[in-house]
Amino acid sequence: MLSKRWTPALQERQRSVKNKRFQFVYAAALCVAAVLAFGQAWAQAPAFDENAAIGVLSGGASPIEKETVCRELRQKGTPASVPALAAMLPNPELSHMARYALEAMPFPEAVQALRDAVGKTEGPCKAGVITSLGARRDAEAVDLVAPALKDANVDVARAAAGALGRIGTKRAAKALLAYEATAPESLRPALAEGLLAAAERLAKDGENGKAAGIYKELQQDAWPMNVRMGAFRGLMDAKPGKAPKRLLAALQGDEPMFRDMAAQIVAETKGATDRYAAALPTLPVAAQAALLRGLAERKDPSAHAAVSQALQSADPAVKVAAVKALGVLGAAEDVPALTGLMGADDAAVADAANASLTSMQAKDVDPAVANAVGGATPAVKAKLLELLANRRAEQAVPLAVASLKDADAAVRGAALSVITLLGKQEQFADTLASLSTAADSSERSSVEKALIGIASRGGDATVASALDALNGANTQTRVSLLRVLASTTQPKAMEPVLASLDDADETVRTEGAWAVISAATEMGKNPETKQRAVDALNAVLAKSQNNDVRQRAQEVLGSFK
Amino acid sequence: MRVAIIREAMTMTKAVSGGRATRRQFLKGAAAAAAGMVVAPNIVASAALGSGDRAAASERLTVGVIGLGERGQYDTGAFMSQPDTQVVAVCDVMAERRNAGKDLVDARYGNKDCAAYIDMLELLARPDIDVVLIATGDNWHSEASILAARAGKDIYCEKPMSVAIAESRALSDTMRRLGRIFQCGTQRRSIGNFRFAVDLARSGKLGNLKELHAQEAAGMPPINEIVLPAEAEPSREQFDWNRWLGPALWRPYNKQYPTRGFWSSHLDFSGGSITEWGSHTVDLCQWANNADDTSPVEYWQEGERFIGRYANGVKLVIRTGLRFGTCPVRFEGDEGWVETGDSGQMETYPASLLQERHFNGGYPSDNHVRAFLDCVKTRQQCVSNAEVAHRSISACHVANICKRLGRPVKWDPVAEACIGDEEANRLRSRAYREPWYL
Repeated sequence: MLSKRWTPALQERQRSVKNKRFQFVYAAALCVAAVLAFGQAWAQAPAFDENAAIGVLSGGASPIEKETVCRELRQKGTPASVPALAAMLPNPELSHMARYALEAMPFPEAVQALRDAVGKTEGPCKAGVITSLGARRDAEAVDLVAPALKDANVDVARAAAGALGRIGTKRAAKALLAYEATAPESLRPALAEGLLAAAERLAKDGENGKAAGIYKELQQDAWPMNVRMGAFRGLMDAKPGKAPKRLLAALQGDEPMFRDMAAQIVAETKGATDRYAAALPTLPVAAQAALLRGLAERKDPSAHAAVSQALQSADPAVKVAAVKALGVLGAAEDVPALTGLMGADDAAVADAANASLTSMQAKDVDPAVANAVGGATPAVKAKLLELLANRRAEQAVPLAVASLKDADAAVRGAALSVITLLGKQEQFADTLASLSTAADSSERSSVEKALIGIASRGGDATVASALDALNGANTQTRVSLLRVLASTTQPKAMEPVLASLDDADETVRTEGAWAVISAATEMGKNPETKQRAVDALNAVLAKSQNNDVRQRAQEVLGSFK
Repeated sequence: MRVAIIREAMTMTKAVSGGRATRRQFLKGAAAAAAGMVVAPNIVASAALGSGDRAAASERLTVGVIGLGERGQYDTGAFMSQPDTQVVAVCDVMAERRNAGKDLVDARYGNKDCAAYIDMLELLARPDIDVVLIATGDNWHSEASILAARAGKDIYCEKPMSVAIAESRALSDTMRRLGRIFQCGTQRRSIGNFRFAVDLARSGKLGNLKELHAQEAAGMPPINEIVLPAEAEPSREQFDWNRWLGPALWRPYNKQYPTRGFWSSHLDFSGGSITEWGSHTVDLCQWANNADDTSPVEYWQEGERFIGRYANGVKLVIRTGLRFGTCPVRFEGDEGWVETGDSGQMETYPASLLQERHFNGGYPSDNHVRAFLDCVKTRQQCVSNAEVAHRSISACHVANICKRLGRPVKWDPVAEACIGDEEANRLRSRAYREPWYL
C-alpha cells in the first residue's frame, strides 16, 4: 500500500515531464540543491522565507514542493509553521514529510500538534505520529498512546509499544505491563522491547526497583532468548549489588549463552574481583574458561593469584584461558611457568604461552624470559630468542650473539633473526664470522640478511667494516659482502660493487651485477638517486655478458620511464 | 504478515531454551517462511553436510546476507571462507543483485540451496539463521541492524552505521538492550598496519598526541538533496522501490537514486565524503586517542579542513591529501608521527619506530569477520562494536552539521547534543517513515 501512496501524483508526473509546472518545480529544486551543494555549501543558501513556505504547504503545491519545504522547516521552522504542518498529519501522502519537520522542532507547539493528531489519524499515519511522540520522549502523551496498544492495525500497536518504551516513565511502563497478560502473540516482541527500553530509562532515572521488576519478569522462559538476555544484562545494571551472585549463578548454569554473557559482564564491570577469584576453582570447567576471559578483560591485578592457580588445571580449555589471561595480568614470577608451556604438546597451550609472553607488560618480564634461555631445550630456546626479539628486549642481542655457534640449527636461525631485527655495528664482526661456519646455503642466506639488517642501522661504520672485510675474503664471502654493501646504496659502498663488474672471478662478476641491479631498483624509487641508478644499470649493460642479468637490467631501466 | 513472521521466529526461539546448540536444532528441522520467498529450496541438506576443512554442521554459524551489491558480495565471500559458517539465505531488493548473490553462494557450496528474498523481514524471520551480514546502502544500516536484533540475530553491518546521530545511538542501545553481538564493517581495526599505527599512538611512542589526521573520501560529488524526475517504477520483483527507500522520505522512482555514485552523496541516504571514509579514518583516530567512548567537544572549519578538538586537547583533522592509498591516517605527537593507508606503506618519525616491519596492502575483511564470529561464540564485545562505531560516526555527523551550518559547533558527548545551538540539534535525527521505527 505504501508504494502506492503517491500513485495519483506519480502517474500525473509520469505523464507530464512536459508539464511546465512540474518542470519549473523540478528545475527550482535542482537549482536549490545545486546552490546547497557547492562552495561553502548550505550556510550560504538563500534566506529562508517561512511565510512563503507556509503558503506552499497550505496551497495546492505538489508533494515534491511540500517535501522540499518540510526539509527546510525541519531545520529552521518556527511555531508559525506548525498549524500548516499539523494539517498534513492525517493525509497519507503528506503525513511523513510533516513529521519530518515537526519531530525535530523543539518547541511545545510542535509536540502538541503531534499529540492532537493521535486522535485524528489512523493506520500508517497514526503509527508515524505515535513514533514521533516516542522519539520526543513526550511523557504527557502516555495516556494518548497507551490505548493504541490495542489498535487493530499491528503497525500502530507496535509503534505504541515502542513509543511507550522510549518515553519510559513509570506511567508508560505501567501501561505496557498492564497489557502484557492479554497482548496477542503478534505484539509480544514489540511489547518486550518496549518494556526493556522503559526499564532502562527507569533505571537511569533512579527507579532501579521498578526496573528490576520488569527485568525479572522478562527473564521468564516464555520470552525469546534475546529478550531474556537483554533483561539479564539490564538486571545487572539495575541492581549492581546483587550482580556478582547472579553472575556466578549464570556462570554455573546450563545455558551457554548466559554463561558467556555473564563472563562478558564481569569483563565490563568493576568490583567483587575477590569474589569471582575465590569462586573460580569451584566452577564447572566451561565456566572457569569463560570467567578467566572476563577477569583478564577487566584487568584487575587482584585476580592474578587465582589466574596463576588456574594454570595448573588439567582441563585444556581452562589452561589455555589461564595462559591467555596471564598475557594481561601476568607478572615476572609467571614467566618460568609460561616458558615451560612453550614446549607443551598441546599446540593451543604452546601458542597461547608464546602470545602471552609476547604481550605481557609487567615489570622485569624481559630479564625473566632471558633467564629461561639458558636451561631451555633447543626448540624452546629458539622460540625464546624470537620472543625476546619481538618484545624488543635489550637482552635479546647478546643472547643471540652467544647462540651464533650453537650446535642446533634452529637456535642459530633464531639468533640470526634476532640480529636481523635488532643487531647493530657492534655485532658485525661476530655475525660475519658465522658466514664461514654456516652449515648450508640457507643459513648463509640468513647470515647475509642479518648483516644487511645491521647495515641498515649501522651507517658509515658498518660500510667501513664491510669494505675492510672485502680484503682477502674468499669468493663466497666477497659475494655476500657485496650484497650487504649494495643494500645500503651509499656511494662509497657502491664503489666495490660496481667494480665487481670487471672482476676476474666470473661468480663475483655475475653476483655483483645482480647486486647492482638490486641496489639500482631501490635507488630508482628516489628522484635524488635515480640518475645513479640509471648509470649503474648502464654499467651493467655495458659490461655484463650474462643474458639474464642484461634482460633484468633493461627491465628495471624500462620501469624508470 | 511481517510481524507475524517475526513473532513466529521468536516463538520458535523461545520454544527451546537458548544456546547455540539449540539453534542448530532449527537448522535440521525448520521450514523456511514461504511467503514472498523468491527461491525457497530445501534449507536442510547442504547445511548439515560437513566436508574437508569445514566444521561439522552442528558447529557452524548460519548466515543470512542482506544487501548484495559489490561490497555485499565481497563480504559474503569473506564469510564463506570461514570454515565454521554456512550462508543459507540472501536478500536484496534488486533482482539482479539477489540472483548474483544466490549464484555466488550456490557456486561456493556446489548446490542450489541458498534461499533468496526480496524482503529482509522474511529472511530475519527464519529461526535457523544465527547471524546476518548487512551490506545495504547506508540509509538502511541502522534500521536493518535493529530489526535483526529484534529477531534475535547477531550482526555484522557494513559502515557507516547511520545517516543521523540518533540512528546509531538507537542501534547501540538496542544491541545492548537485546544482548546482541555487533561488529561494524570498519575492518581497518583488524589490519596490521593500521593496528600498528594506533598502537604507536596509544603506547606513547609518539609522545603526547597533538593532531590526528583522517582523510575524507576524495572525488565524491558535493553532498546534496537533489530531487530527480519521476520515471516508471519497476515491478516489485525487479526492484522493490518502496523497500529500497525504507525509512527515508518517499519520492517517485528514478533509476539514478540506487546508483552508488548518486546516493552516497545524497543526504537522505548517506553522509557524503566525510562519512564515506571518515567512518574508517575518524574511527582510527578515535581509537588512537583512546576515545572510543566519546568524541570531540567542538568542531570548526579551516579552509577545506574540518577540525575537531577532544576534551584532552588533541585535535582531529578531517582533510584530504594524505599519502599511501585509500583511507589514510596520520597521527602526530610531540615526539614523532606515523602515516599509513591502504597501500600498506607506512612512514614514521623517527624511522626507527618502524623497525623492519612491513605490511601488506589492501583492505581485506577476513580477519574482521573472523573476529566477529569468535565474539558471537564467546559473547565478547567486538573491536568495532556498536558503541565504538556510533561514537566514530557521530564525530563525522557533527562535522557534517558544522559544514552544513557554516559555523563552529560545540558538542556535549555525554548528552550527545550540540551546546547552545538549537538548529544544529535538529539535525541530529530524522523522522523515520512509517512503519519503521528505531
